[in-house]
Parts: sequence; structure tokens; C-alpha cells
Amino acid sequence: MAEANTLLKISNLKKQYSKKEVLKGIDIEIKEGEFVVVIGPSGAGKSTFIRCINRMVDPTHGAIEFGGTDVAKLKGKALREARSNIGMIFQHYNLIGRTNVIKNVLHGRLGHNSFFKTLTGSYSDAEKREALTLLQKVGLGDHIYKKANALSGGQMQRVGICRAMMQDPKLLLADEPIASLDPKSAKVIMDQIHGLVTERNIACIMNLHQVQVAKDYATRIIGIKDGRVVYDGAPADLTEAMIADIYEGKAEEMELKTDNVAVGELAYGV
Amino acid sequence: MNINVNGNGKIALSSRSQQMTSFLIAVGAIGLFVISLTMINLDLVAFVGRLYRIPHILSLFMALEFSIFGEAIGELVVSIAMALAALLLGGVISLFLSFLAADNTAPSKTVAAAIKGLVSTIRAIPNIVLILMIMAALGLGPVAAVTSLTLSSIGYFTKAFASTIEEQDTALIESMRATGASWFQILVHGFFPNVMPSFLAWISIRLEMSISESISLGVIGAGGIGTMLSRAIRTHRHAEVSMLILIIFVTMLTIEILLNIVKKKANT
Ligand SMILES: Nc1ncnc2c1ncn2[C@@H]1O[C@H](COP(=O)(O)OP(=O)(O)O)[C@@H](O)[C@H]1O
Ligand SMILES: [Mg+2]
Repeated sequence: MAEANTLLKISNLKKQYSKKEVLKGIDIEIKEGEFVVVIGPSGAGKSTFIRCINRMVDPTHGAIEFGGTDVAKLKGKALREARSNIGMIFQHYNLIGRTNVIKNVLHGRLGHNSFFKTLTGSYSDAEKREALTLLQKVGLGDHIYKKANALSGGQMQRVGICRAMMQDPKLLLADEPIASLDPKSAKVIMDQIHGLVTERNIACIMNLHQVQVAKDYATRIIGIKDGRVVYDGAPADLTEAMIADIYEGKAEEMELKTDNVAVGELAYGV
Repeated sequence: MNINVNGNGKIALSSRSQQMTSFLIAVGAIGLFVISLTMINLDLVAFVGRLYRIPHILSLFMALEFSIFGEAIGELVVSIAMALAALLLGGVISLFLSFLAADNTAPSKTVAAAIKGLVSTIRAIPNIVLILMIMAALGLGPVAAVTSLTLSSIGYFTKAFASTIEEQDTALIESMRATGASWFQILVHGFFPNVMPSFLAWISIRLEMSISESISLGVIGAGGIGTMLSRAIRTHRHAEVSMLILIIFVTMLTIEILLNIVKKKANT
């Protein structure tokens, strides 16, 4: 992995909401196959940062070089094409509740197919086979025709993972994918995401607020505080003092974080 | 906050200003009622003077003219067909308009505002006035009738559909957008499955309204069973009037019962 190519280069990324500057100039380079976890107190700008990358949020300033283009400048069809190469997993799964599981997974192909092809709901046999294989892999092989809203939270997130994988992405974004799950389901989800991105050499950028979980899975940790990167390095080098600094002035969250570490230790057997 | 104590020393359940507001509303309502009464010139003397004719008139209606049954059913079918055509047309047009108008799916704010404005205008005009305006422009007949029924359906559906769409979680759009899906793909795959049950409910509610509007349109000359009814009334053929009213009554009742059965089935 030492010679890996740069996949994503973010330079001087800024985002301003009416008066408030949420991202104050972020520079980050991500290489193929990296598993980057972003930590930081709530309100630091983690979600805004991750959403800028696939332009769910429009940055105010800066460049996002991905796949040979500046995503920050793209519009219309070109933007949709860039998005189709970036998978995304959400805290609240965001499935179409009344649609069945396999169709939700196939939604991952929408960006790759023309409107008329998808209008009739006809996906290619290869796509359907791939969807089924993915669902079997995450243990949902018996639930493919169930309505998505009939699943448990952990199962929904697994469908969300399959949908993102269906895009055949080079980059996976995940915004607090385990924040709504119990520790046991959270571990299953983390293992599945980690397994799939490693196997497919997909780079992953994930927001988490459990520092211990971040240390367990990340190849690199980025700490964001008040819209700026305050830590960028190996998980092993992230000391307790640095963590305390990242969460400085957020005493409540420190406690919350410590709680989570405790829960994490139980679940992960650290 | 001061506690409001009534004259008799008991604690009041509303503050002074709330009591004052209620009082003013009551006075205003009574005032409006009195003004309305004086303005419409109710001639109570003439009204009471004619009351003695009621039994006689009722007796005229106590007969049914069966010979017109076949023709009446034919005209009823025309009325229902006009209603259904308008319902379908209005529904399809509104489907497009509502996605263009709903806050969370509108591709352009200007277009959305224009559609919402247009729909509010249609809804602000009383139906009967709308119908008379279109009849004045297109002349009497089924085309004018279907056009005006379609317009009022659009007024109804676009608002109802758009509000259903706006209730949808915007997070869903986000997840579809993130896969690179286009606006149309998001509508078809993200929204339709979620909003269809509500849309069908709106359509079934509107079905009843559309049929009764279509029959009323007939009364002012648009064709269908309503036209037959107004002809019978004008020519004082009371037995025919009774027959037609009976047919209309049974039809509306049947539709209502059928819709209730369908709704129960859909909910279980
Ligand atoms: N759409 C928005 N409009 C205005 N302010 C926003 C919006 N989204 C986020 N913010 C603000 O930006 C800051 C960073 O938010 P966010 O990126 O969600 O932080 P995090 O994910 O680290 O908790 C917060 O103060 C939040 O209130
Ligand atoms: Mg967040």
C-alpha cells in the first residue's frame, strides 16, 4: 500500500452558512484504499466536510480533485457521474421504506444507467446477480423481497452498505453509520464495511464519534475542531492528550465519548 | 404572569386578553349575522303565506316516471364519463405540476412559485364561477364541462399531492442524489413508491366530488343526467324529476359505499 496513488485531493475547502463559517480551509489528500476516520465534537463541521466531497453540500471555496476533475466545479450530468463513483452511507440509512430490499440495493445503479432504462425498473441480469450476492454476503439473502421498513436498524444499514457497494465506487463516504445502532449491530456493520472496502480496495472516509472504534478500524485518523484539521495521522499516534484537546471545551461530549469507549470495550472485547 | 381572577373571586381559565378576544369575536359574529339578515330582505310574510302549498307540491312529486329510466341511465353514464375523464386528466397533469411545485422536489423556485400561484387562483375562484367562465368561453357542452372539471381537479390535486410530497423526508432525496440519480429517477424510484398510497386516497376522495360536480354542470346545460333533470324541472314533469333524483341519489350512495369498502381493504 506504500505506493498507492492519490485518489482525492482537497485544497483550502471552505463552507460558509449565511454568517457562520463552518469549514475554515481544509487540505487533505486521500490515497487509494485508505480507511480514514474523522473525529471531532458535534458542530465541528464533520458532516459538512463529508457532504462537500460528493456535493450534497456546495462548498463556498476550494477544490475537490477526484477522478481527474474538480468536483467543486461540476454541474448537471458531469456532477451526477462523479457522484455515481462515490458511495455514501447515512446515519439514518435513508432507504425507500415501501420498496423492497433488492430494489433499494439496485438504486445504487441509478447513476450508472439512463433514465429510460431505469424507468421500467429493468436492471441487467448481471446487476441483479451482483445485488443478490452482496445481500447474501451481509446475511440478508433471505430478506430480498421484504419491504425496507420492515427491517431492523442494523439490517437497514446493511442494505445501505449494499446500495453503496452496488455503485462500484472508488470512494465510500459514511456519516456516523453506527450512531443509531446498539453496540452489537454496530460491530457487525463496522466489520462489514471494513471487510468490503478492504476486499475491493475502496478508500473510505467515515465520521465517527466513538474514538475507540476509530482506532480499531482506521488506517488514518483526522481530527476536526471548529472547522479546521487539528490532527492528521496514524491511530497509534493519537494520544489521550490529543483527544482531550480535540474535544476541549466539550466536557459533556468527553463524558459521552468515555461512555462510548466503555460500551465499545464491552462490544469489541478490547 | 398575573393570575386572572373573575369578579366573583374565582380563578379564570383564560387571561384578560384571551377573554377580551373571545368576547369581541362573539360580538362580531352576531353583528355580521344581523347585517346579513337585513341585507337579503327576507320576505317572511310571503314565505309564510305560501307554506299552505307545500302538501300539494309534495303530492306532485309522489310519483315515478319509469319510461325515462333507459334514457336516464344513458345520461348518467355520460355524466360519470365526463367526471372520470376530468379526474384522469387532472390527476396526470397534477402529478407533474405537484413535483414541480413541492418545496423539496422543485427544480426551480420561480416555476414552483408560478404553479403555486396559479393553483391558488384556481382554488380561490368558486367552482361554479369557474365553470360559468369556461362555459362562456367554450360554449355549452361536454368539452367545456370536462375542461372546467379538469381545472378544478388540478386545483385540488396539485395542492394535495404537493403537500404529501412535502411531508416526505428530505433525507430520502439525499440518498438518491448521492448515487448520482437524476431528478426524474429520484421521483420515479424514490418518491412514487412512498406517495402513491396517499395519492390514490386523494383521487378516491375527489372521485365523489367530481361526479357530483359533473351532474351539477349538467343542470346548467353541459349534458348528462343534470341536463335531463333541469329540462324536467322547467317543464314541470314532477314524476320525471323524482325518478331522476332517485337515480342520482342511488348512484352517489353506491359510489360512497364502494369507496368505503375499497378504503377498508386498502387499510388492512
Ligand atoms: N444547512 C445548514 N444551514 C446552516 N447551518 C448549518 C447547516 N448545516 C450545518 N450547519 C451548522 O454548521 C455547523 C457544523 O455542522 P456539522 O457539519 O453537521 O457538524 P458535525 O457533523 O461535526 O456535528 C453546525 O454549527 C451547524 O449548526
Ligand atoms: Mg454530523
